[in-house]
Amino acid sequence: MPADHIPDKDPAPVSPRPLGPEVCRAAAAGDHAAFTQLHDRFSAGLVRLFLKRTNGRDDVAEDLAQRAWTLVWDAIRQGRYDPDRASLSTFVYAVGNNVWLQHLRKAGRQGPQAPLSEMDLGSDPRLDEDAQRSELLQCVREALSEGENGAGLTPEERSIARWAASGLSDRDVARQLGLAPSTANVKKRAAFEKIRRYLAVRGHRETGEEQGER
Amino acid sequence: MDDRRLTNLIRLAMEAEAFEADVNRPAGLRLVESTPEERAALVRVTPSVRPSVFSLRRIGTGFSLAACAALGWFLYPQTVTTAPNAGPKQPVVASGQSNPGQGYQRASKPWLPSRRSADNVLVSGAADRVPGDAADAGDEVVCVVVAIFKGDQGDCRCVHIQPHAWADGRSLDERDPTDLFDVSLKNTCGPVGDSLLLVAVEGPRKMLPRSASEAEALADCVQEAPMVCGGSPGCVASLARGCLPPNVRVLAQSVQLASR
Repeated sequence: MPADHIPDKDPAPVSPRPLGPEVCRAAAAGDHAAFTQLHDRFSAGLVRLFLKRTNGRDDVAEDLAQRAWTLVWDAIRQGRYDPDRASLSTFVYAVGNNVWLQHLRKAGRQGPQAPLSEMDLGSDPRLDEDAQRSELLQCVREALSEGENGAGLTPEERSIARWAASGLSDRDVARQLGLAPSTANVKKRAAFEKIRRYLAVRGHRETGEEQGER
Repeated sequence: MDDRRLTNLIRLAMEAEAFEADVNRPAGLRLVESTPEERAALVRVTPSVRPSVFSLRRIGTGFSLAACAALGWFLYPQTVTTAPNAGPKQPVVASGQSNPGQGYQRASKPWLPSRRSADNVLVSGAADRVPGDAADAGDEVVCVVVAIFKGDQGDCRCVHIQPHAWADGRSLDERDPTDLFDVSLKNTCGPVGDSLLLVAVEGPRKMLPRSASEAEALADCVQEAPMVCGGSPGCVASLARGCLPPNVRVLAQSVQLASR
């Protein structure tokens, strides 16, 4: 092809494949190339995550990303993270979120996006480990998924659950769907109940008194 | 588990999904892997037109940069290209006017702002002008500057890449982001937009972006800068660093071109 030829369109960019459990295992076993692959994929993502949360404070963001990555790598190396129970991205996110919470607590202030209590994965003592936090998050992700491994939510229920989590009120959801607010609320409760059952079956159940409606 | 806790969990799960999408997005630079043949296929040889050279610092002291650049543009309209038929998410690789028959046409009013959609990007490649690009081991440390011109909606209007040699020989580590105001851009590659993002990258030649597509990938990498970073040059550099090999140095600066 001549050097001055301009293709009409660039070749479509190809998304990198999500890294599978085998890469984690290889890295934990000392495979330098696998470690590099993990680091290259996630360290920049962590920096971007923290840049957003710190409103562009690059010094803080890079420090937090470094701390989070160290924790991720320690967990992989010591076998505390099980790649069969949560995707690596969910695990890295869970670690990053926890590092962010610790940073906010240390700084003694509330986050720019949400109160600490809303960013915490809970006070459940079983969730002390980042790996267990990521498993809970993975389970919620699966519950929301469309496949047969999901919680069996209808597309409408899935949308309602996501809208509710994004802060939309029953009235807002009702407007989106052209329903009465009470109907939207009933559908939201049905969606939440399916997700609760899904989580409970997989061992993520909390005490009875915590299950009451708000 | 009450509604509030479940809602929080769903929100965090959605954020985890977004994080996964972010780390798996197809914006990686192929700096080391790209072969000369690949680069030749993607990069148009920069035409030997008279470059419109302007110094940001010089202009910034007295005049509106936008007005001067527009004037410069008017004086050298032959550097204008438009991409009339480019589809969304398909960056247009272009660097000149030497073959307008290949889907490009000269802008009839080059001093007016372009009306391209946010997804259309004009990329001015200068890969052939990176010193010693053709034959070397690629270990020599050099510096390139990627200039990303943005429109009023934050849309990337065009990208230009050029080599840069600092007169005093100091490395980027020893420099302040304001030093980037001293870089003389050899090409504005289109009607000047509202803002300009300058990203200087220094390192072994083989590690640096040098093709138009690589410059565009770097631009894609920092596209969130206005939202995430505000005016923080360090933040922009951090975003850029995320798409570059670990052993390169990065310096960034954003410049407001149009008065609001």
